[in-house]
Amino acid sequence: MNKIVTAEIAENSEIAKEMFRLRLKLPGDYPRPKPGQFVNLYLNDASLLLPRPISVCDYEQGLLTLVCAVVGKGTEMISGYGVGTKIRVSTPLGNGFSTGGSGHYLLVGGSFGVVPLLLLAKELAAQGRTDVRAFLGFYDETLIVEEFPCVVEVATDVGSCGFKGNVVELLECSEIPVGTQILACGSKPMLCALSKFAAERGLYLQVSMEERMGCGYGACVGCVCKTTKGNRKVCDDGPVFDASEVIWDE
Amino acid sequence: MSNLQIDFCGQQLQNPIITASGTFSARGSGSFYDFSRLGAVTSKGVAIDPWPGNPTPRVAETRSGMLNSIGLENPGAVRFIAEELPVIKNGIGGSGTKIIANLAGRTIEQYVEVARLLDAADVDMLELNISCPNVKEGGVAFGTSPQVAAKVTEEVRRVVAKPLIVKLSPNVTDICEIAKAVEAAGADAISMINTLTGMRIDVKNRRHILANKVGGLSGPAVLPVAIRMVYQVSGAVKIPILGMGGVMTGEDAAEFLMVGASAVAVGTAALVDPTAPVRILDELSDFMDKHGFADIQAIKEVRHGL
Repeated sequence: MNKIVTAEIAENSEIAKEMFRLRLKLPGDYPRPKPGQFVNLYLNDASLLLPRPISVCDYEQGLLTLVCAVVGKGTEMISGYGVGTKIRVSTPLGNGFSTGGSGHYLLVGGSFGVVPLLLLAKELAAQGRTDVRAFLGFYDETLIVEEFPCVVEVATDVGSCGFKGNVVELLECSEIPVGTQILACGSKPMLCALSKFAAERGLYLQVSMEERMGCGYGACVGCVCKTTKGNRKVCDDGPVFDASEVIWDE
Repeated sequence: MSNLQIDFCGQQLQNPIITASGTFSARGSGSFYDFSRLGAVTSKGVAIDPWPGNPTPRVAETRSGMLNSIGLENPGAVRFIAEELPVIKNGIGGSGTKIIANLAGRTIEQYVEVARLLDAADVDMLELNISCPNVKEGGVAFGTSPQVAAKVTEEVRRVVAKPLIVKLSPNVTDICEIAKAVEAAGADAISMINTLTGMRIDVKNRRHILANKVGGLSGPAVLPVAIRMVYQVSGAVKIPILGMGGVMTGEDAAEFLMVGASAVAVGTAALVDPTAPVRILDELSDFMDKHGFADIQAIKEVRHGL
């Protein structure tokens, strides 16, 4: 059963420009999130009704780490909540990445799309996988790169760190073994370009999609992704989709 | 302990709390609470064929409310009956919770066809949506003229045996006129209000927030409008009213009952708090105990003094 629990803010710090890390102390029975799942954060302001869906960045027993961007009034408000503030948070929602198959893993993130890849990298490391690489792209300032427990390649648009260019351009000039599985999160244009890259090379790609959500649990059908199987709900059928099913025509 | 049972259109409901159309999914809502505790659940709008809905973004927040322009995305009646309905039935079990199928159409023929299909399906009541502001054809086009509202009600009435609720739009000059027209055309009940049309602009990016530009406003911001309209309509028609519009608490539900609603639907509140329908039910029960209302009829009698 899903539920909304009350968590206590254990840390709330700015870790990059307009990006903050929120650590939440959770009740003991809080379920372990799967990489790629998100949580709904409910604001402590009754006039802002809708929850903010935020990707899970990291989790250890009783402590949930979220990294979010300030994109509007709600996230700005959350970024100002002090340590000790109580905040309501849902149990993990959405489907998450699937990590069953064989072959190398390549995690590809763009901007704050790198956030859900950290828990994924940690889970793959815990499974004993050593054939995992992360390609992380940013505009200029990097984010949580040093926390990844795997080989990391960085691309920046302005060339301030690592490869100069975007992360898909970096992939194009890298050696990607046949059979590599790509798990990605980022902006729609980035995921669209990556989808073409993967299709051309016959690589299996899972993408975590972003969309403006209402409820976050499949009731309002506000957030949809066009797929070859018809519209799917990003919050409930996703946010992770098989890229070969996504229709990118917008 | 107060008695919350009601009779609605000749059906016995265990309580007057119902989910509003478009804010309930058996799987999603059922993952947060036991919906077999409710009086009834209402499906999302079901059309005869699958509808893709409007482009995204199609939800936007606004102070004390939200705008949506979903556009009645639905898998069509055949898939609704085959896939969603069994999940609803399974969640309801032997509790007696009723199922209301909300019907959408672009033409009178489509309304009639989908009504016929759902009347034969395992649902208890039908809610005719002639008030969706987010579709270009059908929807609210049927709900803003008394003659057209009466016509579609009459045509659907002819082919269905189950109780027929007609859902009204608040985006009209005189809602009482529409209510009286659908009552005369054979509606068994009225549900009201659907959303109020609204618009928001993203001033930083100088564009509409909703891809559809216009959407329907719901949430606590619209409650006073809904209360006023239910009050007016309950004085104008004899058929029961399923009241809705911004219900966030048990006291809000009591307010609707006091102005003449016979049952109350919870919509946007369930997006704000997934367990809102059952929380509101518990709050209504507590309110009745605390204020000495023995049953729902006792709350409704307040209407005579207002």
